[in-house]
Amino acid sequence: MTKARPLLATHAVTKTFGGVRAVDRCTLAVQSGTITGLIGPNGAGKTTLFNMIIGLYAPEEGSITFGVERIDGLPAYEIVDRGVVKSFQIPREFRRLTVLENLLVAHPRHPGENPIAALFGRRRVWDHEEMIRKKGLDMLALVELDPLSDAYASDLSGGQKKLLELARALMTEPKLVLLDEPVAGVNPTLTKKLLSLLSDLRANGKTFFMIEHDMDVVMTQCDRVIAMHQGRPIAEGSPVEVRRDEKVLEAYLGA
Amino acid sequence: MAELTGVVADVSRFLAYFAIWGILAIALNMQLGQAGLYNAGIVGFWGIGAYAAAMVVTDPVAAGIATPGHWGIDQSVFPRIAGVSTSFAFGVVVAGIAAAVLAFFIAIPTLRLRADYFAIATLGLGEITMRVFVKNLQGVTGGVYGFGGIPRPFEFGFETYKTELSYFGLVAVALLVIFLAVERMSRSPWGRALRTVREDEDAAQAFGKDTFFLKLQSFVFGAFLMGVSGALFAFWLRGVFPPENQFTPQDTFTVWVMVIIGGMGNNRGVLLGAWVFLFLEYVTVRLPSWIDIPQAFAIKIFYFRLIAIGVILILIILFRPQGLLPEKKHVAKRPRWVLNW
Repeated sequence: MTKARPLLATHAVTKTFGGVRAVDRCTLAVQSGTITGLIGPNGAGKTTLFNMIIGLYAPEEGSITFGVERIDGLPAYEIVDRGVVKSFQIPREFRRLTVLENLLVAHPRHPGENPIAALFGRRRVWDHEEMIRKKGLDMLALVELDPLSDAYASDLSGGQKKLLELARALMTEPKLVLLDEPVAGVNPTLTKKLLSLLSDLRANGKTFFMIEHDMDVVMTQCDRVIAMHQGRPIAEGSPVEVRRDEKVLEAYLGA
Repeated sequence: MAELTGVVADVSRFLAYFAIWGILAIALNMQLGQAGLYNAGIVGFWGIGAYAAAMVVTDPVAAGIATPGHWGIDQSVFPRIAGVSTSFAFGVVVAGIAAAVLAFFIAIPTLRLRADYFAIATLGLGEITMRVFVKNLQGVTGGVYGFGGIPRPFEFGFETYKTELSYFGLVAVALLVIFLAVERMSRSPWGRALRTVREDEDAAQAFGKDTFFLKLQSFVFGAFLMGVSGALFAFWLRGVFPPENQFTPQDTFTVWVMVIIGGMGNNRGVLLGAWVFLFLEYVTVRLPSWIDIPQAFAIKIFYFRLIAIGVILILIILFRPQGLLPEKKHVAKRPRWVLNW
């Protein structure tokens, strides 16, 4: 396999909380068109790394590039504009917005999101609204939440909120989706459906970078796996290779 | 007949007062109910609006032995339309802009603060505005004396009921226009984006919202409305006076109580909240003149309203925290009229 320029690359990024180096000079890359798994014991720094990539935390050292562009230091709303989005591990749905509205707000560059357009209403705004509304309903159908489109997001069950997270992330028209434990708490039937949805989307050119603890999911879904421990990658390769890696076993089982 | 005109004047005066507070409640609802901004400095924006409008509609007064003097504009520069000076229209607009500019400069350093810290900062800055600046700018604002002699757009001399009734009509139109505009904006995609900031600011950022800019828009627009309300209040009162006489933090908390009682996020609700609050005030003030109440009690009854408000507030927070009229689902809908541009 020829090594193309990776879609996402981090170079020696570091983030500390108090005295803890949550992510410690972490360098890794995600190739375009793959589903790349990110595994590691609790506290390995996986979620912190994700939050740096999407701009919620600024890295203290190092750089992050997406395609050819450096994105570290950009505010989160500009990074999502460039096509990187994350679905949160603990759902962060907008509670007192409806399920459908949660998707509509995620669609990028809505021409109606300024006070002048809000007051004087333009036809273009409402045509756009109509268009993304259809899109949002299709997306909800994909994750089987369409009967609940008008319910408040806070009224969904835990598993349904995970699905909403995924649908909302896809609504931003991303190139790269960071999934933080997307199927934890989702029932097995729906998990299967979700995973096949991911494969379909990957076939359509989307790239996924996924934190997942369920090794079955990692083994069957991921093309590449990166294992993290104490803030930096310790192994990388195909799922089988990583699973056999001694350093990985040691990290999980303790030395 | 004399009695009837007296009642008309009294009721009109009260209803205009209600409309002025209604605008304040809607303005706070734009900031707090939509974008989740804990503005505790309402009185600063209201007061700046009142003073700015008062200066636009009065002639300047030079400092004298007994008066500190205040700024003003020579009223002859304003053209009159059908006998009504256009200075009032300018006054309202200038008041809104003055409050919006103040909000802009307050927002730049403070909008990064989260909920309760933002409340403390705005409370402090509102007080600084009124007590440090407005109260001490002797030759500009009338200093500790403030100034009176502010006219109304429509004056009918001794026919007080006409003056009061026409002013109520004017303020009612202002309230209606503001209500419809804010409702429309709340239902728009912009209102929806503001609510994402209210619900979860980090998530809003991660899903593409420039949350600082959205909060700034909401805060400045809300402050503009507070300034407009201040202008209408200055005309209503025919004078502007610095804190402790007017524009104390109690006014800020009154608006908060109105919004909490009525229903945060619901513009009809906050108007109902304003009504509940002010109607109690009106009734307790007028009751002794309507029915026979023992003298000792008659003086105190006004203060019983504070107890009543306190009890109502506690009951609502305990049993109906979403307010009398809770927020409705504001699903964005194409309005009846849209411009094609």
